[in-house]
Amino acid sequence: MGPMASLTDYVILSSILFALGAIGFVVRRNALILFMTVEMMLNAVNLMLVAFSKFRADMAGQVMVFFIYAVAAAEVAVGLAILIALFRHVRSVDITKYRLMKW
Amino acid sequence: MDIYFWIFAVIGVAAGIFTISYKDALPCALGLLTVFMSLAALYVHLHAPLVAIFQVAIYAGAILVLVVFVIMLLMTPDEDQMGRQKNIGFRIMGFLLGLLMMCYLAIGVKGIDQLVHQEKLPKGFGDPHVFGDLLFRQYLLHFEVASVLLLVALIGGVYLAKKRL
Amino acid sequence: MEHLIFLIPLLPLLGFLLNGLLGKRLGKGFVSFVGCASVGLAFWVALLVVSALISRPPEDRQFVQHLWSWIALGHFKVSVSFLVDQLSAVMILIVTGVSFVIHIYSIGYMHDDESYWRYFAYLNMFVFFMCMLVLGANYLVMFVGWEGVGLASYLLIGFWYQGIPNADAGKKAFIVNRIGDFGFALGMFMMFVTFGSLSYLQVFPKAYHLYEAGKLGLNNPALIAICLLLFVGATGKSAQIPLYVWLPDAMAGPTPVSALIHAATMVTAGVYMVARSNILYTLAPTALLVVAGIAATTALFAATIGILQNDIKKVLAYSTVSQLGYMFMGVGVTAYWAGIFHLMTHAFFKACLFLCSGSVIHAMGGDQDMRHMGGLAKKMPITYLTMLSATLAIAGIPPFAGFFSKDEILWRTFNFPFYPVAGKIYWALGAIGAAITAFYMFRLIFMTFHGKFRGTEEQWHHVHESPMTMTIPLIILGTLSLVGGWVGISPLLGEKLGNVPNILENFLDPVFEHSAEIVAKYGHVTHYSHSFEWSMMGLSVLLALTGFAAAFYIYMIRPEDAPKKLAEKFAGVYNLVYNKYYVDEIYYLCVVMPVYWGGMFFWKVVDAFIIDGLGVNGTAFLVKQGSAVSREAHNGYISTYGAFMLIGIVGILWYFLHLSPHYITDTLMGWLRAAF
Repeated sequence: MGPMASLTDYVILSSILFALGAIGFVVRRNALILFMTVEMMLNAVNLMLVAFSKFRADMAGQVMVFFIYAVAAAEVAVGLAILIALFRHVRSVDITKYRLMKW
Repeated sequence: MDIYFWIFAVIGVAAGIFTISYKDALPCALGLLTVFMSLAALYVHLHAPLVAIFQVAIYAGAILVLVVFVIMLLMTPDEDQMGRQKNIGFRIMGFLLGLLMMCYLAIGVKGIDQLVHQEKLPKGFGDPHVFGDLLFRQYLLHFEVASVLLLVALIGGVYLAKKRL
Repeated sequence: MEHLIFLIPLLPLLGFLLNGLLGKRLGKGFVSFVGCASVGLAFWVALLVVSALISRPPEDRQFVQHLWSWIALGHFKVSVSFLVDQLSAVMILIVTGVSFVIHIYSIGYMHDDESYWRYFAYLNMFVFFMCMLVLGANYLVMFVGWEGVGLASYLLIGFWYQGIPNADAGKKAFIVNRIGDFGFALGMFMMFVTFGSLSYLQVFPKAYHLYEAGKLGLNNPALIAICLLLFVGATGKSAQIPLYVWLPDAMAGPTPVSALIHAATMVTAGVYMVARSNILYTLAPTALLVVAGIAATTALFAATIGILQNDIKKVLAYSTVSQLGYMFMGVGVTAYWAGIFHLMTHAFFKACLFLCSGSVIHAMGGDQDMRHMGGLAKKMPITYLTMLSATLAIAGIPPFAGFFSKDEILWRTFNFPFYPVAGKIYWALGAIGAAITAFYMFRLIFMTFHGKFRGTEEQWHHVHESPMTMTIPLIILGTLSLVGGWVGISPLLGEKLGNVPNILENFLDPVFEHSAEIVAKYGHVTHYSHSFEWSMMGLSVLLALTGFAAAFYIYMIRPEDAPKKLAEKFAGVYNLVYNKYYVDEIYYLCVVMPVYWGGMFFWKVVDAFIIDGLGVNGTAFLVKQGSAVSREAHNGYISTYGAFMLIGIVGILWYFLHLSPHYITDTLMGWLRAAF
């Protein structure tokens, strides 16, 4: 193997993925795609954790990633359940239809 | 020039851009899958094979399946058939801010190499039994809490999705 | 005996509390007993204290009872203490004695009233405050009494408050009094600033010592200010120009109230105050000039108004204002004992006059208009005789009481030590006033008791002499109107009558001796011959008889046409005087309306518009508008909320990373160049 990628590269990659996720969250209208972008942000954070874990030789980073997986799974399950329940009433996944929590 | 890293990095970013920009929901899911897989490859490169397996199993195997399932269930139409956007100003602002944030984050870490030095990796770094050892000894409480969280999510999910409450 | 002093105000206070709290339930007998006994016992205690005072040698006649320290703020120390010296002794005996008599009278007069208990409660409260006023050892305790009697006066004037005019009269009394009290308070402030204390036992000796040491000359501006400000309070309380306007309206209250408060006691508080502060006034002769001037003017002015009033009580009210003018003339020309002497005789005969008029009003079934009366003497002999006695007293006909006091005042005014010329002028005003006094009082007598009855038949049937509870006080006061003046016989007369001493003047002299010393040193006292003095005395009597004769002529000999013809002949003057010189109207236009407009301005413009409209509502409006704009941010789209979160994240990053755009663009350029 050649020279390893530096930490900077991993952090920049993680940042880019996170920013993409954030942009996607703001720009998209489909609620399911919003979920996907949230998962992308979580993954970016996971990458950062694993990178630092390797560079600091500390396994705790990977353990933390593990917990993030658990939480992400739980969150997706519940979130999609809510979405389905909502869909039964509104008949659409367009977030512009979900306007009750406003002034 | 770490070729391994660069390949999967480019694939990941390209898939990410695809995910957030394509108008259909299902291809976006597949783009997300690509992101997951490239990240899993990077985990392997980072001496974290167990994490890579978890990534594939949980994210690509469970979460993404669930999302695809829901997409199929709800038969969501394409976005351009959804009607006019009403808060386009905020979206544009958010888009620009996201770009700005990307610049900040990316540029802000310049010079981190001088601060964080590569420690010597001990033997067996990233091995499952080291991982398990940590998980079930030092982080046992966190583990138990996570299991309670999953139980709660389970009950919540079942309750929410019932047809008649 | 000085440890008993506190009982004098305490007993009426207990009477007030008992009658006020329990009177309604326990019935008229209880109320009457408690009301009269409390004042009666107070009178008895006053007698004990005063007799103990007299048993001491003249230089040592002063009792001080210190109850407790009331205010102690740094240098400002005021305690609740009572001072009984010769002056307070005279006052307290008058107050408690006359109050007691009037309480007895009230049993009969207010017998049919449903708020019987309330009347006696207020009356006892009044006596309590009046005792505080007279017995106080410092100006603040006096002021407590001062204000308290004003309150009692308000409550009693508006006793039949269901009638709007009665309530208005009560309000008028209180408000006008308050204006005077403001001056009094300012006077007290100045006194504290100048002398460092409000206690009689500190201020008066200090003033005298400063004068003796040569540090305080006559007519010091601060002292003049103090005296005049205190006098402003006196014009309010004692109904002098310009604050007398409440007294005629105060006749809306029950007649015994008018007798007690507005004739015998409350209105004399101002005279007492000036007499008590005699050293301060003597050291500020300019203030004395003003006091005597206002007094003389008021005496004549009010007397002229009294000529044409038709309500029997209004005549007596203006008469009170006028007589108060004489009292202030007395103290204003440094004849302090004379002012107090006239206060005493006036208490006797004016209370008697009011109570008699109450008896008449009772007989007339509530009618107070003298044009409906006439010839009542036959049916009400006791009332007639006592009222005649009091009228002779007020007219100043010897040997009745008023002659001695009024003559002394007029003589001393003629001889005003500091301003002889002004003294002559004031004497002239007072003398004419005396003639007019005799005139209107006898007019009252003739219109009420003589001639033909001018009322209705059923009124005539109703006319009866009053019950004993009412006539006995009349007899007591009528007798005092005759003999009350015999304690103050002037030396000139006294010699003639076999060396009868001037008991009152000798008794009161020690209180005023410092003032007398200053007057002797700085005043220009002309020594007139005895014959001149006799002729002046004779002139006083002559003026009184002239007034009597004029009234006799107009109202007895030619009652049918004389009044009307005179009214037509001097129509302009008649109208002016009959309408009380339009003083009330002038006050209404010049004082009340501006205050009203000011109030309207502050209400409608400042309060309603500026504070409420612009301030409160305006702020709410601005907030509402602001929030109407800013709440648009919550439009319900979670992408918007996500965008806001991004704002936050970028903000935090900017704060912590501080990357300038310059740096960002440079780095980006660097990377692009490195890539290609």
